[in-house]
Amino acid sequence: MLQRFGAAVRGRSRGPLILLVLAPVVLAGCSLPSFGAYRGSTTQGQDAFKLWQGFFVTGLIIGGFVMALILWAVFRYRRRSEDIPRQSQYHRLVEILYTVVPLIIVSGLFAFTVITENEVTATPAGPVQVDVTAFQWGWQFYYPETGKVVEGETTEAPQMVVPAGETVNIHLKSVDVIHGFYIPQFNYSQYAQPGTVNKFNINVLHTGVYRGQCTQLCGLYHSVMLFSVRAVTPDQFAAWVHEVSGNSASIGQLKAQIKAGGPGA
Amino acid sequence: MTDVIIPVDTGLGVTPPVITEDQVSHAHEEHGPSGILKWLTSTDHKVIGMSYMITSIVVFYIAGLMALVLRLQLASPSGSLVSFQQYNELFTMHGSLMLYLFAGPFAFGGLANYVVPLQVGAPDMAFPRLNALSYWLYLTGSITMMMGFMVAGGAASFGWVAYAPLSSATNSPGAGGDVFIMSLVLTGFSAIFTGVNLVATIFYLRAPGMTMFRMPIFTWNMLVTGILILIAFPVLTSALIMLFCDRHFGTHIFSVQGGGSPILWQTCSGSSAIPRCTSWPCPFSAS
Repeated sequence: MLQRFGAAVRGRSRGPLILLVLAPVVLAGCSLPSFGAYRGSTTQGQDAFKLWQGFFVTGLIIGGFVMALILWAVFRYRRRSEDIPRQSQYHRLVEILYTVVPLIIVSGLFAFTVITENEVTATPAGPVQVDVTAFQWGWQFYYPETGKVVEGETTEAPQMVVPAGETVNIHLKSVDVIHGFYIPQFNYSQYAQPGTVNKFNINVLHTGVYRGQCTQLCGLYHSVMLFSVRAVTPDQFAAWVHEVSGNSASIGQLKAQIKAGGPGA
Repeated sequence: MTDVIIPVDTGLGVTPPVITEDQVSHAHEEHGPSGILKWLTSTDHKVIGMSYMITSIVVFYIAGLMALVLRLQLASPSGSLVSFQQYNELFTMHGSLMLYLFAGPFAFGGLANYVVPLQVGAPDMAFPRLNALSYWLYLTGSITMMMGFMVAGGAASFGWVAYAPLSSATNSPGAGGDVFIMSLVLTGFSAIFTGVNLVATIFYLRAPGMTMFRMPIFTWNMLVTGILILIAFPVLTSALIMLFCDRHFGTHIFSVQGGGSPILWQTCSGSSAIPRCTSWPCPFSAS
């Protein structure tokens, strides 16, 4: 019996080994299924997606191994006679292994998380900056290079235009309550906080339109506080951002409102 | 062949005293109040535990009905069963009822109250009257919370986490938010008292021979839960009082305009949320 237990122990210690061998494959692998997540339409989103894949595969391996151990124990030690099988508590090697091995697994996952987080939250300066201001209940996208402004409330769903393939610096803030800036396909969400400017970068890979929404309950019309991101080629972007903004008057009013403590502030 | 009856030797060298029917009924004779008054004035941990469980199950069903309304609203796009405001009120109250008034109180007010003294061999909780106070604070707090629907402007609608500055007087005017805060202050004190009671009972009222490492796993979990409560709920309760001061007395603890910080609310409620959220599943995983 102890031999069998030993076999199981050796099986368990093989877990992290398999993990270590598989991890680079997993983290580099695009042929793996997406496990229900978006593959990421920005470089940052792709990093997060690879971490998700790695975690999912690790979870499958460990979960499968634990399941196998449970089934093995259930069938191997089902009650066949009155004899009590040889007891093996206080087995020092087993106890050390099941303390150390999970620590190694958790440390490995932690390390991958830190690496990915550092990649996702890095903010090197890019050619384009967008100041995003959230308010009850809409968004304002301001391009400081040209003074271009796009804004819209609730179901007007303003559109943020960014160049594809280039680094975009986003400076996110709120004028009233906490909002959440979230584009599902970018695999990234960030609070818009009053009194704080949160900075992050996006590098959209391909042109296209990506829907976005507020993800922090912010009052009455939170559920319709929508926006979208349109990624265009850098040439198209340059042309767009130099166009004269059509609705600058209303923006002025909006800013005055916000300064005066409205809307709803 | 007839069975041979072997006289039992107690090994004590004395005959156990014979208890007659008369003595039993005398031992159980009550001198206090009876009926509903007996229940209202009881400090018996089993009675209080039962009251806790029944109350929290009632709360559970009310919160479940709210969840049904929410799901009905979401069953079709742009549903019109409830308005934006009613929807926000309903899910705020659903979350608050389920988490603050069901999950915790059912486990450490109900199950732990009933079971822990039995498992450690204590005659009752360490502070029976404090235990009764816990229950009555909890019941009062629960009723206060649900009364939110009856005040002008409706119940609290800023989510069960009540993030500042959405929960400020300007962004969420009306008595609904105040009722929510005061309800959680009441149940917060209730939880703190229960935590004190559990920890004191487990540390000081174990029967002779019941060492810490002989305690059943459920009681161990409840000890950890009790300590987690003592870490979490004083912070949460004081943060709620600060939020109330922000709403009414012009303190600017959580508002940017007055030099405060909305993140401070997240720090206060969040740092208490981690032990709190750990304390909620803890008893259930043990039972």
